[in-house]
Amino acid sequence: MACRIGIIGDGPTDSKVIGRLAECIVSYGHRKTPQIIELRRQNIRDAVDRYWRDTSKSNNYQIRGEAGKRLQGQVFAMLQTAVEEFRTLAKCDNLSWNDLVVLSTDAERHFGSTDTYFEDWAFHLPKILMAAIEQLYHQLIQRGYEWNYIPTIVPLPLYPSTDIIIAAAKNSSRSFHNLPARELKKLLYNVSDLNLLSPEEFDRQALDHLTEDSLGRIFRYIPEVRFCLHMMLWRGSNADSVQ
Amino acid sequence: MFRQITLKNYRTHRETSLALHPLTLLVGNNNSGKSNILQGIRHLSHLVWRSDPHRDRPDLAKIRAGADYFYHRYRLAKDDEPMAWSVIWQENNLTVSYELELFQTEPSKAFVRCRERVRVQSSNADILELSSGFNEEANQLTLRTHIEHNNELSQELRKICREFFRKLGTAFVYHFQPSYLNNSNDSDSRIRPYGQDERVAIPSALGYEGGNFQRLIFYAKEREERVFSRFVALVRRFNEEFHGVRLNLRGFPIWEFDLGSTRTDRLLEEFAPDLLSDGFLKAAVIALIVSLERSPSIIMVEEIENGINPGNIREIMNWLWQAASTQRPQGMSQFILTSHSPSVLREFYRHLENVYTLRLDKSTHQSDVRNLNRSLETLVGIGSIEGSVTKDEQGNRRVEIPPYQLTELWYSGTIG
Repeated sequence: MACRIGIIGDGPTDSKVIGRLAECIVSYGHRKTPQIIELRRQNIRDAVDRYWRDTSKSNNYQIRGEAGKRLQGQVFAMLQTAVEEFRTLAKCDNLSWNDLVVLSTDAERHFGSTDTYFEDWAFHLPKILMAAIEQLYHQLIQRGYEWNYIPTIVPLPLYPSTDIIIAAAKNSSRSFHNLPARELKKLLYNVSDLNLLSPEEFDRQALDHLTEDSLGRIFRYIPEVRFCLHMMLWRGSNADSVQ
Repeated sequence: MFRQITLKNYRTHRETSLALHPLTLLVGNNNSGKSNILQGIRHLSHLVWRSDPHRDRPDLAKIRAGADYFYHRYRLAKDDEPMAWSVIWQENNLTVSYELELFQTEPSKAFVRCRERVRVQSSNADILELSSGFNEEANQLTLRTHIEHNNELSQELRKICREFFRKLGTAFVYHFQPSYLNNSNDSDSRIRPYGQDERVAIPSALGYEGGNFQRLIFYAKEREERVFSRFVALVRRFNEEFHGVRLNLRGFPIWEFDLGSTRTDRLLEEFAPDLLSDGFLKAAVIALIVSLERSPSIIMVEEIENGINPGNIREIMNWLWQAASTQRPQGMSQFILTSHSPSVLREFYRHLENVYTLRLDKSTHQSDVRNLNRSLETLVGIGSIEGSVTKDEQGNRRVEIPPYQLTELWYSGTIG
């Protein structure tokens, strides 16, 4: 069975980083190449920004709160379109459980330390995304889809941004979770926006660091990636190469 | 890189100064003066290009009273006020500033004079200051010729000035229109019309509306392989079924797509340009200008979003950011864009200092140009919009607000 991975990100550079990470993981030990499909027209950036606007670290962040419910609804609505777009771009009549959609977004919030991810306010974002994913599964089942024709969707909110993956891949000695997104970019690439890097520089300074060797550091220092990483790894071992 | 441009008494701009960035965005109502800024820069660029001492026609350096001056002059300017430009350019720790003024000294409209001044500075001292037209009246742009023939100047200084003027002379404005972009009916598109050996300068041959696009694609395929490869790679990001372009036997361009046909006699489907979508052609022409080997210094694009679905704007903007990267091996271009779309504005949420809003003052008929970062700083400061202000390494205050808030400000009429 072919391994197709759809990526929802905040922008083209996010999709490239997560796409390369997916390639590394799926090909780990198998030499299998997944088909990466960027779902460029979908993103949840605005919904997440509005969620942060209406919450604080002590209030309203809960999944049952008004902001949480609104975010869940918006993500659910976007996912319906995303699955259709995934089907169209994959050029297949039916998707299956073996197809994976990575729902990533830059949380734009940074931590004091890596463990902050497990504090309630931070951990609620992936929970809300998971609730939206479950809601979509539920709806698809009600519409008569068999479980094996529903793609697997994995939430991947990154604190503060996708660059945390590159930071961990580049450097094993420390966590960069305590830096705001802009400072992290400045430190890693000496620019405030990844778009300002030429494609060659972007490859050299970012993508080239995502190798099988760096997966261990990414797993160790970025807890929010672990679930996604394992799901991809499992896909890789069960899927046929598309190439 | 060009750091600043100032227009004085040019169309609706009484005195407008813009800091230029790798990408600069102008937003504002219709008739607010956005295009006038682009045309003002293009006008200056064209005058500088005409004054090249190596050009075959020295008469080009002469100022034409009508076309160069009266046609563009701010109509409510006083008679003794010149129409003027000034530009600041920085590279390798050197700053070059250039001023050009056109003015009228005689009562007759046939006499328009000009004066120019160029100054080269290092970080701590003035290295060179040269001018023309100040001591004696002149109606010809001669400063470049003076610099070339001035044996007292070092080769190095001449080279810096030459490079500055060359860059200033390559600024192009485009307002791409689908009906021009798909123009394949003006006879044979083979490269013969350009001559066998003559190198086509794609940016100037493309035309304001992109009328020569179909010819130039084939030219790039035949003569500029790397440009064409980059073009194909970018267009495939927009439409992965795109395969390439070929000419049919009658010389008409044919666009090829791999639609998954399993027939053995024809694996690719072919389409005439007028069958392609407007948005696809718009993306394709932008892909061409960002793929060039010899990039123009400034590329100005009017209404970049026209024909392009908001969902695809991010991709197009990403191409532009990368073409404006200072690390680009084939040289960077600076872009100045105009837009009526919040989708484009949101792409600047990390670079609000790159955005200018324009408004026409009805009493003076002057364009009022304001930097968005500065305007929002005030609004964030008084608490009327949510956001934060941080300082960068240079001590500049930067407003940070999420992209959705920019969209909301647009629709509430605060911006745009």
